[in-house]
Amino acid sequence: MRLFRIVTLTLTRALVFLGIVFALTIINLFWLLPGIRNIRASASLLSLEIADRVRSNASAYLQGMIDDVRLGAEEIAIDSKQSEAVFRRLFKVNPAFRSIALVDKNGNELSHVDRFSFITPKNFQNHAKEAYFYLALEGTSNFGNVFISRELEPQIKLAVPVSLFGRAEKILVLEVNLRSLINVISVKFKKGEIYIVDHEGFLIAHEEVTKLLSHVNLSSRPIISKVIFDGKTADGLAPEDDYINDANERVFAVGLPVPLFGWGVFFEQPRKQALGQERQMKVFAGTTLIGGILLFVIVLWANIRQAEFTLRLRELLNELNETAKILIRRDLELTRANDRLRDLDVMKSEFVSVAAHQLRTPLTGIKWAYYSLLDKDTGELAQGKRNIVEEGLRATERMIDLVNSLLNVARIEEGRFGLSFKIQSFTSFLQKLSMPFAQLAKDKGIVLVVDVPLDDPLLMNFDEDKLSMAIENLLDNAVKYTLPGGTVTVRAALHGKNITLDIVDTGIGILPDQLPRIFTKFFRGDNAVRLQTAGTGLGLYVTKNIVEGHRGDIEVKSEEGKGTTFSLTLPAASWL
Amino acid sequence: MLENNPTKKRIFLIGLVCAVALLLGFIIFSQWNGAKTGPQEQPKRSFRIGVVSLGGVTYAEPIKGLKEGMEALGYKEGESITYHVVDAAGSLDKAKEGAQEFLREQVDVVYSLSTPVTQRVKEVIHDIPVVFNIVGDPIAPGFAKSLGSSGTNFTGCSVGQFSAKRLEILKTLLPTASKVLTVYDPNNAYSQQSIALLRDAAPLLGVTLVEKQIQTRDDLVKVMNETSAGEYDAFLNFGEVKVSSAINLVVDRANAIKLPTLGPAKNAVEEGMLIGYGPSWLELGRQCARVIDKVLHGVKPTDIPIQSPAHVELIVNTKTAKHLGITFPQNELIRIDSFIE
Repeated sequence: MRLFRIVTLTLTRALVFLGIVFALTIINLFWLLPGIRNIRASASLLSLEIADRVRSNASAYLQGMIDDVRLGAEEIAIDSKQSEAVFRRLFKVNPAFRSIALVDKNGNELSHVDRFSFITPKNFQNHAKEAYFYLALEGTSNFGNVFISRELEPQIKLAVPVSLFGRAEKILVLEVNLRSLINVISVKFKKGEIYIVDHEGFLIAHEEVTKLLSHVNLSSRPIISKVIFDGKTADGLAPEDDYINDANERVFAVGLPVPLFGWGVFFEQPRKQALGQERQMKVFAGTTLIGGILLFVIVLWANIRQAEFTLRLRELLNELNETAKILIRRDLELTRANDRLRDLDVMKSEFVSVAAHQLRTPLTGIKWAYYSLLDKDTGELAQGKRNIVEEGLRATERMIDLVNSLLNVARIEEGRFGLSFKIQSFTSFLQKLSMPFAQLAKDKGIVLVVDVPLDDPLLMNFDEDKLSMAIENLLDNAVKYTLPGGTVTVRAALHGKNITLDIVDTGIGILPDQLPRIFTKFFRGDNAVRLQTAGTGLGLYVTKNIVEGHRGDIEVKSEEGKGTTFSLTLPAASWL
Repeated sequence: MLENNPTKKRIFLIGLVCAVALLLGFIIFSQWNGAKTGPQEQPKRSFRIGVVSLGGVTYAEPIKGLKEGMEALGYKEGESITYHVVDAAGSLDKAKEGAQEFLREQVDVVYSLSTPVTQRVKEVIHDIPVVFNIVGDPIAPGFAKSLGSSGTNFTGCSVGQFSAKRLEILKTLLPTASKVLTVYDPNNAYSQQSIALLRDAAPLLGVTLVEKQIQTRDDLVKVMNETSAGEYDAFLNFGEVKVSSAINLVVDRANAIKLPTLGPAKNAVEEGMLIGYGPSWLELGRQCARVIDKVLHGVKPTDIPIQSPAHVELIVNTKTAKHLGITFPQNELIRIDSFIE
């Protein structure tokens, strides 16, 4: 089920993604395509303007030549003796004129002057077979076809009739160097080329002389054919207007026909430059498309992550919910059990208290009965009987101790173990307390050392009765569990805000794994039990509670066979 | 809205960063694309051009033209281009030694001036591109198979053949000149060709051509010193290399004996020659700079057509004319392009 959900979800998302990509693409195309069209149209328009300007300049230049020569022809027509002067003037006004010849109606040269060469009659030519000659005879000034000079320069013949009216009797034939067209086609722009080709597709004008002198034929370019042979304008927008130039660059080119000569004027620019904006626009469109897709992917991814996270969170919440219910149920059960245990505990404490109270009275009675017997109140006792009575007395005293301890424990648990504080000298207290134990120790062959500062009372706020109980427990244990020949040291000192009491014995020690339990109820160490000493196992529990009731702390360190140290830390009088 | 929703905040920030990064990328790309279509810069490395000529004030012009042309094309002398100029002081042997130096240094291009100097260069250099200038006919000495494509490691600018035309100009401006002295080196192919043309033109122009052969500068000095005033009507330098490289010597002596002189090159007229007719050698130098630029960009010399001069100019030194007491025909003054004092 889960797998099915995942697959469905993935497919849906993939479809949405594709849909978004498609939509973004359509949106981009919506503004991109018209934009590109506009850019291309602008580039075409600008290029055509430049080409047209060059065409106009070239046409004007050539027309200017015709006008200059026509003026000269008229002068010669008026006075043939002026021909030399006309020649000189024509050479002067136009550096492009290479040579000038005066030709008769049969095509024979009558005179010929060359700017570069010395022409003698034997160099004279006959022009009778040339079309320009006949057209000029008819009275039409015209240019011939382009030809290449010995110096590889494109040249053209210009024929102008020498006549005032009617059919010409003579013709002026000039050789014009078309290299001068360089000045006409030079247009200042970043990068691009203007060139002119003749009616056969040969390059006849180019800003770069080396290209011009190469006499290259460009008719293989479709745009050249379109302009030269078809006489059409190439606006650069048609597919056939595209080509790769000799510098291996793809160019944007336009072409205009020059009808008078059958030439073509072309302007090409690197496509990247001419249509640079188009490229930028495409890049921008691509960028926005990619950006849009990327953004969508990011949003989608984040969405997916969030959905998964939400799903997981929901699952976890459900689990948590269930767990919480379970916990609440358990808590309820535990609370009920706790209440029951508390009630039982209260009942137990009450029972112990009542039982202890009820037991203590008869036990005390029994004890005094024993005392009476021993005190000979009923007469002298035989030794055997005396021993039995003494034994009975000791057992009764032990029972009374147990009952008292149980009562103390019950009071502690019921919170009725009250403490009555009074500021007094801890030093004096210890000295008094130690005295009976000193005798006990001596009787057992143990040295009891009391080490207290004699010049410092060690004032403390404490309940003398309760603290006595606590410390007597510790001293009792120390003496009880120290073998003859050992030492028990009672040491008290002031450390900062606290008074420390160390009770150090060289007794049997406590097993390390039993140390953590020694302050619990009814606990007796195994080695203490082996020693067959009397004890209820409640003393240290009561001692700990009393010390903690005084806002103190008790610690124990012990090593089996070497001894035990109980350390009490109690606040000194001024710090309570 | 975003503050309480860290996920949405993260999405927004990521989206913003992506958008900014894309925009920056687009801007940088646009600028880089624009920069790529900017004007072509010259290559960053430094080029060495070996220049060799017979020296003299006349041949200083095409060297000056070359340097001006290269600078206009963006080459800075001392940075992107250095010139090792060998002035052979009229000695073809020194010119050859200069070519050998260029070969040792492995210069990028050799620029050689005049036909005999280029012949000496051709004997030594076979692989380094050579751009010649002030060469009358590059085909006869074997520098090129045709003007369109040399087929060799040579290309350059032809100075053209104006010998007969110069005689015609001389006769036009000095109609009374009938005995004209000219000197030539018979070992120079161009000189041989020129003399042949002059021999054909002279009678047609009504001029007696007096030819004197020279092979060294000393020969030229001897001829000039032995020429006395009034012996000839004019001295014609059709373009003889040994005369052009020692033009000062010729002009000083000619002016001293009031002998009108005509030759190529504007700076010769500036040095006192009466009439100069021919293409501007300064302009030819600039033309060759464009050829050298192509070569430095990796175009092979055989792919660069040999160029001819586009224009010629007729220049007259009016001070010399005054000194010589010459008045030019009024109707011919229109021919003169410029007058130099």
